[in-house]
Amino acid sequence: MDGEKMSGTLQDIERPTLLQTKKLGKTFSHGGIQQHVLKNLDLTLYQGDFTVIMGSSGSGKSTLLYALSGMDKPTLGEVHFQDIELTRMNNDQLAVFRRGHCGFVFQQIHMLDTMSVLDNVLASAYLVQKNRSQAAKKAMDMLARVGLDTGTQRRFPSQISGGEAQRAAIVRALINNPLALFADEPTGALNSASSESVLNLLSEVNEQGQSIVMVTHDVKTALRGNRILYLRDGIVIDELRLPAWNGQSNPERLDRLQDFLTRLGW
Amino acid sequence: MGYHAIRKVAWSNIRKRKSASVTLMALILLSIMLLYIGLSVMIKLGSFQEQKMEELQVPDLVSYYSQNDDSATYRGIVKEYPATAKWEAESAMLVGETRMKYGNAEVLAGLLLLKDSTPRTLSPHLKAPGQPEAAGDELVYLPYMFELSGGYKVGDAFTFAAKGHTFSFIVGGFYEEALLGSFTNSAVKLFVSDSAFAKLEEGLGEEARYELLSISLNDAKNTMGKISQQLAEKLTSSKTSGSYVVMEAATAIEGNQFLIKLLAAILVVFSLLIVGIALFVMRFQIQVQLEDSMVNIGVLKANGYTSGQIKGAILLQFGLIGLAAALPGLVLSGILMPYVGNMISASLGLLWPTAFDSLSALLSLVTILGLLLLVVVQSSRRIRSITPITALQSGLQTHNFKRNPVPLAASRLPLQLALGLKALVRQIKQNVMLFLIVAGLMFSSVFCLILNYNMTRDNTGIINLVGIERSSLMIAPQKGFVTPEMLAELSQVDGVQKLTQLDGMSATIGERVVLLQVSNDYSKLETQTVYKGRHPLYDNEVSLSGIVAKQIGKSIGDEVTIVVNGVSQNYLITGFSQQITQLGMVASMTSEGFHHLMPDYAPKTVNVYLKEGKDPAAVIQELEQRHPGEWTSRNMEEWLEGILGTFTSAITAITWTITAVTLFVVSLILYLVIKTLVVRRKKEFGVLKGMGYRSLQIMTQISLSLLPVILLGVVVGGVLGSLFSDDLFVLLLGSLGIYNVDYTVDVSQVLLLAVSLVAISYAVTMLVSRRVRKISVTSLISE
Repeated sequence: MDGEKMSGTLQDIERPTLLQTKKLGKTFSHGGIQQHVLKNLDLTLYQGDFTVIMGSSGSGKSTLLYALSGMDKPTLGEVHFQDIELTRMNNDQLAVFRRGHCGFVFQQIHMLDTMSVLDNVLASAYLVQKNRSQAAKKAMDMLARVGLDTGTQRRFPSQISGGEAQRAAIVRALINNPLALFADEPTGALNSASSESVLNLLSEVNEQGQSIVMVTHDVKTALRGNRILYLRDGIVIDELRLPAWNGQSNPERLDRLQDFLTRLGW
Repeated sequence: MGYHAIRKVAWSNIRKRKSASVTLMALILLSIMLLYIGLSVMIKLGSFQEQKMEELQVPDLVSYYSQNDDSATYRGIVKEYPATAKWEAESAMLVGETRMKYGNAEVLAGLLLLKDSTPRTLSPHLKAPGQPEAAGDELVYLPYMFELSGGYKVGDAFTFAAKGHTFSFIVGGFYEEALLGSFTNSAVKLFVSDSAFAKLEEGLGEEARYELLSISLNDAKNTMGKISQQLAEKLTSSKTSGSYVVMEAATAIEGNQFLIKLLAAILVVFSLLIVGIALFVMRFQIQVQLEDSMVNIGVLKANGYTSGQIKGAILLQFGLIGLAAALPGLVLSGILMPYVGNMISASLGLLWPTAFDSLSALLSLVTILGLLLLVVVQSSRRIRSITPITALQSGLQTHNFKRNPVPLAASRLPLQLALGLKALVRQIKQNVMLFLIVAGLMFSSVFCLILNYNMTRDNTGIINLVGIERSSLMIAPQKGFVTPEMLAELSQVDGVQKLTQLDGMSATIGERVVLLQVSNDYSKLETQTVYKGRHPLYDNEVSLSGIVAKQIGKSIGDEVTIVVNGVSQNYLITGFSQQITQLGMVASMTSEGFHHLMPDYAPKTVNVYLKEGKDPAAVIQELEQRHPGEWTSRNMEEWLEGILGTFTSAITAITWTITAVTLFVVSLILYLVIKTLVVRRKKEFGVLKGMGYRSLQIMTQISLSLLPVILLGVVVGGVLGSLFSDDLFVLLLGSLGIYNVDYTVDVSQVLLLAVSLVAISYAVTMLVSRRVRKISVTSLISE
């Protein structure tokens, strides 16, 4: 581990823990052949961080993301979300946990294409929030803040652009004030302009204190994070600490990230 | 790329859609079975009558009457009649009413006992080869009905009581009897051995001595009316005769077949409904298949397959499914047919041929497969207009985005219900299909429930149709007529509530022989057969059955000439009646009115109505003690139960079959719809799970997107069934002159069916939608 890691550790002392894994393992079996995707992973994530998980294809990034968020059950080990142990929960308990603690943004956006944009958000909001009129007002306000006006809110996901749909998906993920927002390649299916607006939105909410855990293989996207974890063969082999995103990319930040990745054979 | 390529695509489609194919096969199998059974019964019934008449050498006309001085006159009429081809007269013993064991109960019926050894060529005792027969003295040979549903076996004891004696004989065997072989007729014909006959003669006395006339006619269709009329009028006008019967074979057999025809018609209509459902389902499957395999179609087209070849593959796919279901369906119906045949045999008293009916099988096969292929061709038409590029881009628009149903921001409904309703509106085409299926099945089930209820529980409606008076007892003096003294005595019997008179005579209207009913007061009768206008009140009035009025072209207010024994008189028509007796050919007039036709008429029977709780059997016993051998009494309640009981098992079987098929088909359709829905909405359910929805919540949403449709179908089908079943009966019974039916609808039974259907649907919905539990959010990524 290098100095970046050490300084990271000092920061960690000041931040409360969001997530912790102990000896986390995930194995897939296909036709009798076992594939160990995550291997005895001990990891701690902190509140308020914009954590980015990077790694080559098949390194276990998405598997780790879904194990951390209670979307999927690990084969071995434990996942503690603050003081809640996810690994002891059944599927329904995990569902109830997710609705109150997590928000998700997917690469393929995965809006419900049979509901309007607003209803997509409300289908999530009404699960948790009892006061419906307040929830509806909040959803409309949030959608408006990300640039989706009332007309767009009434449209179906297939009738708006990918960038608009992904911003709506982020609103949907944030509507219940989750402790953590999980994003799996959120800009993977978007053009550069749309990607920029989506990343700006994520940075903005992080700045407001929202914890984010994001998987990406795109360097420009990864720059938004303040903690970069690098995964290889199911193990976090290194991490990089960066200052919080200040709204603009600068060459020094990019260099540090590229050095980090080059060193790891990216 | 020829047939082999098409076959390969068809097979891969079947393999890929195994459960959908199996569901469709089950529906086709069910429909072909029901269609075959219904058709074969309907087709065979027509020739069955002629075939049996010939096989059993059934006379065209039979009559039995008390042996007396007039017997020679009756024989003379027959002998002199120019169209008589053959006639026979033989001695018989008549037991008016007696109780006997039948199945697990007892029935009350009249018995006409003939000496087995008497030589006869018309309706002889034909011993079927291979059928066992007992040997010995004092044997009785019973119609097959006693074996099929009465539980009797060769060698059993057959016991009945009459005139204070108990007669017990050994069942020697069974035989087929076309006219007097079931309880629906006035008496059941039995053959007995000489010693048994002697025993009966000794025990029953003079009054039981009857004569049976059997007549075979040339050109029976045209010559029957006149001799039947002559004989009936002579018997009617005879002062000495007791009870008598003149029975035209064709009419009697037609009457016996009425219920079987009704049930066969119900079965055919129901099977067509199931065929319709199978076609609906197939159309749905083809649409789903087209939408799901759009990319595959694009690939096939890009690789040079023509639209015709792709359609050919779909045609082959469904043709194979149809054949794979239809052929075993026909084999299964062949296996089931003997059971159905037994039920028919028990109702008709004749052995129903159980041999496989190739014509019905072919008709069923052609109908089902033809319709099936027609739907395939019609549904797969749009393949032609799809270009490879459109298909590869999944170009078919499957959702309607014109509006957002049940917007959550404005909805006050519970969240699961709101989401369920959204899905309901979105799947509107599929839900219309589901609604029509449930409503159709519910309608047919309610129709059968009503028929069953009116046959087995509250039979007022059926008895009104048949036209039998619902009294407690019917009493007739063995000799002479009902006298004022007899009426006075009967009215004084403990427990008697009222007395009425209703005699049945024979008369002619135009060229038609009708049953002429005569009563002193129609308003006192319990069975009211007039559905339009009123019964006659004065001596110049008559009411006609609707079918008679229609045939002679008369309306209420018109005059009609009625002839009895050569005497004619004009009467004013006051109303239309309906009843199945005498195939609906009935007229009714007052006793005073009948005096114009027969001045010395005196009533021959009296109906006795007992107070609630009074036992008719006890009254019969009391009267027999007071007037031993003078009066014949019939326990009408038991007699009616016996007649209706003959049909009950068949109707109950049909009702249960249709109800069970309804529940099965609805479950099957729900299984198919939900399975398709879960597969097609997998991504949506995955996203919902990611958002924190539990499996149970998603299952509830699926239920709520289907249950309102089922509920609506059940309510609409139930209400329509309750309101319009009577009209459907009129449609089915119109040929018998039934123009107005008013059956009792037991709301609790309909409600129970409705609740069961909804409950089972809910259970099936929740059970099948458990599949969503397997859907995980991670599957979204892996796809």
